[in-house]
Amino acid sequence: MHSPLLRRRAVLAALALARMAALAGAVQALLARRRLVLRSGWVMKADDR
Amino acid sequence: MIFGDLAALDGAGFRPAVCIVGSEPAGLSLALQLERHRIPCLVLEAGGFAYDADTQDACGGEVVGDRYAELAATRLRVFGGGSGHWEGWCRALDAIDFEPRAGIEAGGWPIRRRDLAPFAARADDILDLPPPARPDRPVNEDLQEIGLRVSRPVTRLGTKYRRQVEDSPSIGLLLDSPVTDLVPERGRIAAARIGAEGQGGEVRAPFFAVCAGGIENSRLLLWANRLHDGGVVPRPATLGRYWMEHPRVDVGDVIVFDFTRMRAAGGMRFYAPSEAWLRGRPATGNFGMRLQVGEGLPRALLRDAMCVAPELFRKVAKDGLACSARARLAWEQVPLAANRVELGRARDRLGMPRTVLHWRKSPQDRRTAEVASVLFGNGVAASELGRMKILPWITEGGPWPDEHPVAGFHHMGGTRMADGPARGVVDRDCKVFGVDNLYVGGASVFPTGGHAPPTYAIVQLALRLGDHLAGRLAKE
Repeated sequence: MHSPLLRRRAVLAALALARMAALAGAVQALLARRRLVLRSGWVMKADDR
Repeated sequence: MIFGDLAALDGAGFRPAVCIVGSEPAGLSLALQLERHRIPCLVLEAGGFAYDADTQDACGGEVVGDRYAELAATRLRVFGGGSGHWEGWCRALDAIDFEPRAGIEAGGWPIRRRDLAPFAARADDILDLPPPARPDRPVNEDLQEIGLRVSRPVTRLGTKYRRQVEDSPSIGLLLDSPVTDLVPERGRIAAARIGAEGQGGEVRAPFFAVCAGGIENSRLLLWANRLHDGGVVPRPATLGRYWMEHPRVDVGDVIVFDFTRMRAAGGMRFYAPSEAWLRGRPATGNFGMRLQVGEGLPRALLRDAMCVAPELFRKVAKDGLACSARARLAWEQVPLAANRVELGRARDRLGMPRTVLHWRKSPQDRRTAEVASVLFGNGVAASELGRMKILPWITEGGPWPDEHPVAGFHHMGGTRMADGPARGVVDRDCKVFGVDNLYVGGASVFPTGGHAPPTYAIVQLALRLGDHLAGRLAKE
C-alpha cells in the first residue's frame, strides 16, 4: 500500500465506489417518486399487492 | 449508364451537372430524383456490385470511448451502400424531433417535418414500404403505441436499381471509384479526385453532393479540408462533431397476461413517449421501446413476481395465457460536440487517414434510459398488457450492461444542418456553408436523431435535395 501506484489505484477505486453509491441513491430516489415502482424493479399498480 | 473507367466517361462525352459521391440510399435517391428532372448526374461508388474485402477495409478504424462494433462491420462499400445490410424498419421523424427542445443545447433543425412531408410518397416507393398497419395510439397520457413500417423482403437499393441505372441515359455510374479528395477553386469545388494520390483521376462538375455515409462524409470532408487548408469547408467549427447513434439496451422483462395480444402483433410491439411527455422533460432524448415476446414464461420470473404480488400472479399462472417478453430500448442521444469523427494517424491503402470515432454515452443518455424504463413499465401496467420488472442494472444504479446490443449502427451527425456556420456545416438546403456548389446528403446532416431508424428521413432529404438542385440548375 506504500507504492504510489497502489495508493492511486486505491483512491480511484474508492472514488468509483462512491460514485456508484451516489448513482444508486439517485436512481432509487427517482424510482421512489414513481409510487408504482418497487425496490425489486417491478412496476405495479397500487392495488396489485 | 455504367462507365468502365474515367477514360470511358470522357470518351462518351457524358457531362454530369451533379457529381454524387457514394451510392448509399442518399446518393441513389438523389440520382433518381435528378433523373426525374432529366438532369445528368454521375455517381462515384467506391465499391463494386459485389462485396470485396480489400475495398471494405477502408471502412475500418478505431473507436475511442464506449464499447462499439468494428467500424468496418457497420458500413458497406458496395453499390447501394448501407441498404445492403439494412434491417428494413422505417418511420418518419416526429414533428418534435425537428424543434428546439429545452435542455438540448445543440438541438433544433432549421427545417420542420412539413418540409419533408411532400417526399413521403416517393420515399415509400423507393423503399417499398406498405401503408402503416395501424396508426399510433395512446396507451396513457405519457406513452403511445407506434407503428413502424418494414420493407419485407428488405429492399436492397443496389439490387433494385441496378438495371434502372444501367439503362438510364441521365444517371452515370463509375464503380470502384473511391473519392479521396475534393479540389476547391475560388469558393467552389472544381473536381472530385478518385483513387490514391498519383493514380486515378478527377471528375469535374458544376455541383457536388457528398453522400458517402454517416462517418465517411465527415472523414472525406475533414481530409480534403486538411489537404486544402480549409478551402473545402471554410467554417469547420462543428465538422465531424455532434456525432450520434441510437444506443440500444435491454431494460426489462415483462410478464404479458395474454399472449394472444402479442401474437396478434406478430410477437413484437413498439412504443414511444407522447409528445406532451417529451416536451415536459428537458434534456431527455426521444426514445422507442420494442417489446418482443420470449419463450413461454420462465419459472424464475414468475416466482419473482409471486413474491411481490402473490394473488395477482397466481391468477395469471392459473389462466395459462401468460408469456414473457423483453423490453429493448433505443433512444436519441443528446448531441454532444465531444462525440466526433476524427482523422487518425493510420492510413488506408488509398492514403486516407483512417477514422477515429470518439463515442460515449452521456449522463443524459443514462437519464433517458432510466425514465424511459419507468414510463414504459407504468404504461404496461396501466394498459393491463402485463407487468414489467426493470432490470437490476437500472434499479441498482450499476454500469451499462456488458452484453447489451450497443446500438442500431445508425451513423448520424458530423456535418449537421444548422441556421449558421457556428452551429453546423450545412444550411437548410444541405449546402456547405461558404461553398457555393458543395452539398451533403445522408444522416450526417441530422442535428438530432429522434428515435426512428434514419433511412426514411435520409431518402426524404435526398429527394428534397434533388428538387433544390433542379431549381438551381434551372436558374443558372
